Amino acid sequence: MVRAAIRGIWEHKLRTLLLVLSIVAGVSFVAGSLIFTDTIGGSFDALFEGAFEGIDIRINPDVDQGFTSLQPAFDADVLTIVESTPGIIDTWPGVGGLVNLSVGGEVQSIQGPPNFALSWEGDPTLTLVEGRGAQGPTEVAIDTTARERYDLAIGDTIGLAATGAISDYTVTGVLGGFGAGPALFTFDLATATSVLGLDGLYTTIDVAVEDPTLLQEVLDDLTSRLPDGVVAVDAQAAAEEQAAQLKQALGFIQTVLLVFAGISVVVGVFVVYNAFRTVLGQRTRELALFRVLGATKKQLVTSVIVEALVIGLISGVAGLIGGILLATAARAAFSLFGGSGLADGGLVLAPGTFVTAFGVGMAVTLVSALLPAARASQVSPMAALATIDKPPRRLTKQLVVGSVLGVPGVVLVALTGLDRVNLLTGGIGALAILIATYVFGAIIGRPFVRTIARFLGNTPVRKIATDNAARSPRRTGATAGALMFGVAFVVAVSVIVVITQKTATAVLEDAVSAELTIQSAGADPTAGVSPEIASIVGELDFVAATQSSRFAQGSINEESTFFGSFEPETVEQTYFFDEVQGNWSDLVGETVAVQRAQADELGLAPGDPVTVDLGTGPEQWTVAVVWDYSSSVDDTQGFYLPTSTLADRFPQGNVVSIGVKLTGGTDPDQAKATIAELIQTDYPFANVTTQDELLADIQGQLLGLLAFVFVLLAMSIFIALLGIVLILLLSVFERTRELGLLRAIGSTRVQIRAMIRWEAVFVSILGALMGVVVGTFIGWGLSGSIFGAGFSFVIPWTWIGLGLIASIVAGVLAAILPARRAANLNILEAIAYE
Amino acid sequence: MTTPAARAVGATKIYGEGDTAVTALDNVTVEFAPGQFTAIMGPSGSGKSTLMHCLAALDDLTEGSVFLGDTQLTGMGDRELTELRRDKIGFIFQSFNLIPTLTARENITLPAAIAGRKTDTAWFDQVVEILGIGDRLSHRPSEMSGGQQQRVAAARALASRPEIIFGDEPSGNLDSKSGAELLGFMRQAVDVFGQTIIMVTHDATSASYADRIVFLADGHIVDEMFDPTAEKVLDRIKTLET
Ligand SMILES: Nc1ncnc2c1ncn2[C@@H]1O[C@H](COP(=O)(O)OP(=O)(O)OP(=O)(O)O)[C@@H](O)[C@H]1O
Ligand SMILES: [Mg+2]
Repeated sequence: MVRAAIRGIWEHKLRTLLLVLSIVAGVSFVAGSLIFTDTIGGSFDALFEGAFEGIDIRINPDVDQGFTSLQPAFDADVLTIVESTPGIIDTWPGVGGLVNLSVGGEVQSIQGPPNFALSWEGDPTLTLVEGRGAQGPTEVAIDTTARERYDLAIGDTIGLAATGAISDYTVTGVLGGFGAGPALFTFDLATATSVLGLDGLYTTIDVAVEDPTLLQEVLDDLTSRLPDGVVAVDAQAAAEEQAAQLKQALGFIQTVLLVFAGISVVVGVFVVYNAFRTVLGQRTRELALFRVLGATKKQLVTSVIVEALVIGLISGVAGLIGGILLATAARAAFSLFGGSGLADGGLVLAPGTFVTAFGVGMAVTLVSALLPAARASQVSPMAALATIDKPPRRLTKQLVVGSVLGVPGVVLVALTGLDRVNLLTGGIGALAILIATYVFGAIIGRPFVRTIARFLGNTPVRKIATDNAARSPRRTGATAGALMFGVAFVVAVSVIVVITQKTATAVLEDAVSAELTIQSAGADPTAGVSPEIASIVGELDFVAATQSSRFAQGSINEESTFFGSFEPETVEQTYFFDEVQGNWSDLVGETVAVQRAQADELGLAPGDPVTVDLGTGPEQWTVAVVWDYSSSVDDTQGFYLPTSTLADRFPQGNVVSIGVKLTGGTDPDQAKATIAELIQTDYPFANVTTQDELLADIQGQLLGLLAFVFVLLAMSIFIALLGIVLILLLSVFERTRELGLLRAIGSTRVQIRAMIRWEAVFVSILGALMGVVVGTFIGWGLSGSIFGAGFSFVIPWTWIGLGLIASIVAGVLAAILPARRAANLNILEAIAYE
Repeated sequence: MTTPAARAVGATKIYGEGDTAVTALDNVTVEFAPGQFTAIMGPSGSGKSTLMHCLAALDDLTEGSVFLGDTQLTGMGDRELTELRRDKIGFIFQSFNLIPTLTARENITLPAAIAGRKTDTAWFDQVVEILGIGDRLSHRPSEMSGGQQQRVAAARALASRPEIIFGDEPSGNLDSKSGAELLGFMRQAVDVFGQTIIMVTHDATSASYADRIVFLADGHIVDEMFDPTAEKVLDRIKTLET
C-alpha cells in the first residue's frame, strides 16, 4: 500500500508539483518572515552590545521624545548641579535635534527616517570607525547609516541647517551608527549648539560615577537635586530598554509578516484539502478495488497519510529554501529603504525556523489530507463495481455549518461597524464570515454560474463549461473560496485605506481654508520651519493672513495627548468652523481650545479649569473655546493651545507649519512660486505647497501603504490561483473520456481550450465576487472600530473594478496549462480510457 | 460506377517500434459503397477498430491512404480532420457516447451546435420519432437505460446527416432486444434515407443486419459476404477459424 502511495506521487508528477507549490508558497513566507526578522534582530543585538559603556547615568528631559523636533531641552545650569553632586567623576553634556541636509546642492527630502544632529566629542556613547571626530565650526562627522544612505565619504562637503540658511561642513570621520532609523551628523558641542539654536541649553548630560556599586545612591541624590522636568536614569537600563523597544518594534513587524504568512498558509490548506478530496474522489474505484482485494480501512488511511507526509516533507525543504530566497529579497528591499547597516551580516537561520518550516509543511498537508482520507476509507468494496455517475450530494451540511458560523459572524462585524465592540471581536467575526462564505460557496456556486452564463448568452462551449463548473458544487465552491480569501482581504484593506484617505483629505478640504502651507522639506515634517517666515510672508500684498502652528506633547487632565496650536487672530480666516463657543480672542496665555468631541468626553465648556502638563509638571489652565469643524472632519487631535504660549515655553522649537490665506482672486500656484522664490535663499528647507499638492501627497502615501499590503497578500492570491490550476487539471483528467468524445464528434482544439478557460473564469469570478461582497462588509465593520461610529463609508469602486478584471485575467491565466492538456488529449486514448 | 463512400488503399498500421512492433493492419485495400450497411468482423485483435479509426479520421496510417468520398484524409491537419468529423462523420461507440451534463436533446444537437449550425428541426423530429426517444429528450444520460442512451447516440449520429456513420460495437453493451431495436433503426436509416454505415461487430446476429460483411484476420481482409444471415455468418466464422 505504501509503495502504491509513493508510486502515485511519482506518477502524477505535475499534480504533485502543484500540490507542493501551493504548500511551499505559504511555508516560504513563514520561514522568510522568521529569517528576515531574526537577521535584523541579530544586528540589533550586535549594535547594543557595548552601547553606553563607560556611562552610568543619563540626564534627560522628563518627556523623552526621541528623534523628533519635540525633544525639549533643559537649562545649561543643570550641569553645575550635576557636577556638584558627590560620587560623580565625569560628565558629558550634549545637544541633539533634527537637521536638514543638502548634498551636492540638493535638499534631501526623502520619505523615511529623519536626519539627526548631535554633539560628540569622543564620549563613549558612539565609536569612531573611520577618520576623526568633527572639530570647529566647519566640520561634521557622520554615522555609517548616513554614509550608506547618502553615499558620502570623508572629505565630502555637505550642507546642514536646522531651519535657517545652509552652512557647509566637511566630513571628517565616520561613527558606528544604528544601521536603521535616523542618520546621525555630529559636531563639537559649540557648533552643534549653534546649528540647533540651543544656546544655554542641553538635551542630555551623560555621567560616569566613581563607584558603580553606589549607583543607586547617586541616582537618588541626583533626582532630589534636579529641577522639575529633568530626570536622571540608569544608562545601562536605558540602553537595554532602548534595545527592547527596537526589538518590540521588530516583533510587531514580525507579527504583521506572520499574519500575512498565516493567511497564505490557510489558503494553502484549503487548496490542498480540496485537491486531496478531489483526487481521492476520483480514485474511489481504485480504493474500492483495494478493499475488494482485502485491504483494511486502516491501510487505506495509512496510504493517504504516507502520501501526504512525503509531500509535506518535500514542501518543508523547498519552503525553507524559498524562505531564504524571500528573506534575501526582503533584506535587499529593506536596505534600499534606508536600513543599510543591517543588511551586512549573514542571514540568521535559527533552529526554530527549521522546526517551524517543516512543522508548517507537515501540518498543512496532514490537516488537509486527514478528512478526505477518513472519508475515502469509508468506500465500500461495492463502489468498485458501480458506475461513475454518482447523484450529487445534498448540501445540507454546508447550509448548517455556513449558517452557524455566518450569522454570528455577520452580527459581530455589524456591531463592530457601529463601534459597539472592539477590533479583535470584529476580527473574529470576520474570520467566521470568511469560513462561512467558503462553505456557502458550494451552495451558491451552481446558481451563480448558471446566472452568469445566462447573462453572457449560451454558446454550446459555454454551456458545457457552465455545466462542468456547476457539476461538483463543493469542488467549485472550494476552489473559488480560496480565491475569495485573498480578494476579501484586499478589498477589506482597500475599504479601510480609502476611508482613511477620505478622513485625511476631509480635514484639508473641509476644515482648512488657507490655500498654501509652508512646511519643512525634510523627511520629518515636525522638524518645522523658522517662525520668522510667517512675518516675511505676511508682508506680501496678496497674503491675507498667516497661521503658524506648533506642536507639543503632554497631558490634559492626566490623559496623555498631542497638542496643536492656533493663532487666535487669524484662526477664523484660515480654518472653517461649524461651531465656536467662547471667543477666539480669549485664547491667550494659559488657555486651551477644545474640539467638540473631546469637550463632550471630558465635560468641558469655556471657562472651565483643566490640568495641563507639558512635561514640566501639572499646571492649572482654562478652557477658552470649544469648537468644531464640519461634521465630515474626523480630527483626533482635539486640544489646541495658543501658538504664542508654545513659543514661550519651547523657544528652541520651530513652527511645524504655516498656513497662508491668500486675498481673493490670487492664483495659488503663482503665489506659491513667488513665496518660494522669496524665502529660498534664507530658508532653503522650507517648502511651500498648495492644497492640491498636499492632497496628492496624502493620496500617494496611502497608495504606497495599499501597495505594500497588496504585495503581502500577493502570495495568498498566487496560492489560490495555483488551486484553480490544480483543480482544473484534475477535472480535465477526470473528464478525459468526455473530452475525447467531444473531440471525436468534431470539437476543435480551440473550442476545448475555450471551454476550460470559461470554466476557470466562472470560478474566478465567483471567488472574486464573494470576496468583494464579504471584503466590503468586513472593511466597513472594522472601520467602525477604527474610525468610530458614524464614520463616512466609501466603497472603493475603482479597486473593486480593477480586482474583478484582474480575477478574470487570472482565471484565463490559470486555465492555460489545463486547457492545453485538454486540447492536446489523444482522442483514441481518451475514448479508450477506463 | 459511383465513387465509394470510403476506401482504404494499401492501408498499413504498425504500433510501436522494433521488437515490440505490432502490425494491426497489413496492406489493406477495401472500398465501401454509398448507401450500404457494412459490418466488419474478425477475431479479437484482428484490427477491426484500427481500420475503423483510420477510416473515421480518428487515427492516421503508417502507410497507404484513406479516402472519404473524393477527399483524401492522409496528410490532413488536425483542424481539417476535426471539421471533417464534425461535418461528414457520425459516431456510435460501444459506451460512453453522451456528455453526462447535457440532456438527450442537447446531446443530439451538439455537433450542430459546435459547428455553429442551425439544427434542421424537421429532420430532428423525424429522427427522434423513428428512434422513439421523443419522451426522453429532456433527460440526462444518467436517467436513461443503456438502450435508450445508445439510441440517443444513434440519433446524434444521424441528426447532422453525415455522409457516413461509424459504429464500434454499438450494440455490444445491450441485451438482445435493445440491440435488435438499435440495429433495426440503423437498417432503416440505410433503407429509408440512404445512409452509409460501417459497423464493427463480434456478433453474427448483429452482422446479419448488414448488406455486406468484411472479414479481417491478423490485419488482412480474408473474406467478404453479401446479404448475410446469422447462420451463414456463423458457418463462415467456423470455417475461418479452422
Ligand atoms: N494503441 C495501441 N498500441 C499498441 N498496439 C495496439 C494499439 N491499439 C491496438 N493495438 C494492437 O493492434 C492490434 C489490432 O487492434 P484492434 O484494436 O484494431 O483490434 P480489434 O479487432 O478491434 O479487437 P477487439 O475485437 O478486441 O476490439 C492488436 O494486436 C492490438 O494489440
Ligand atoms: Mg475493437
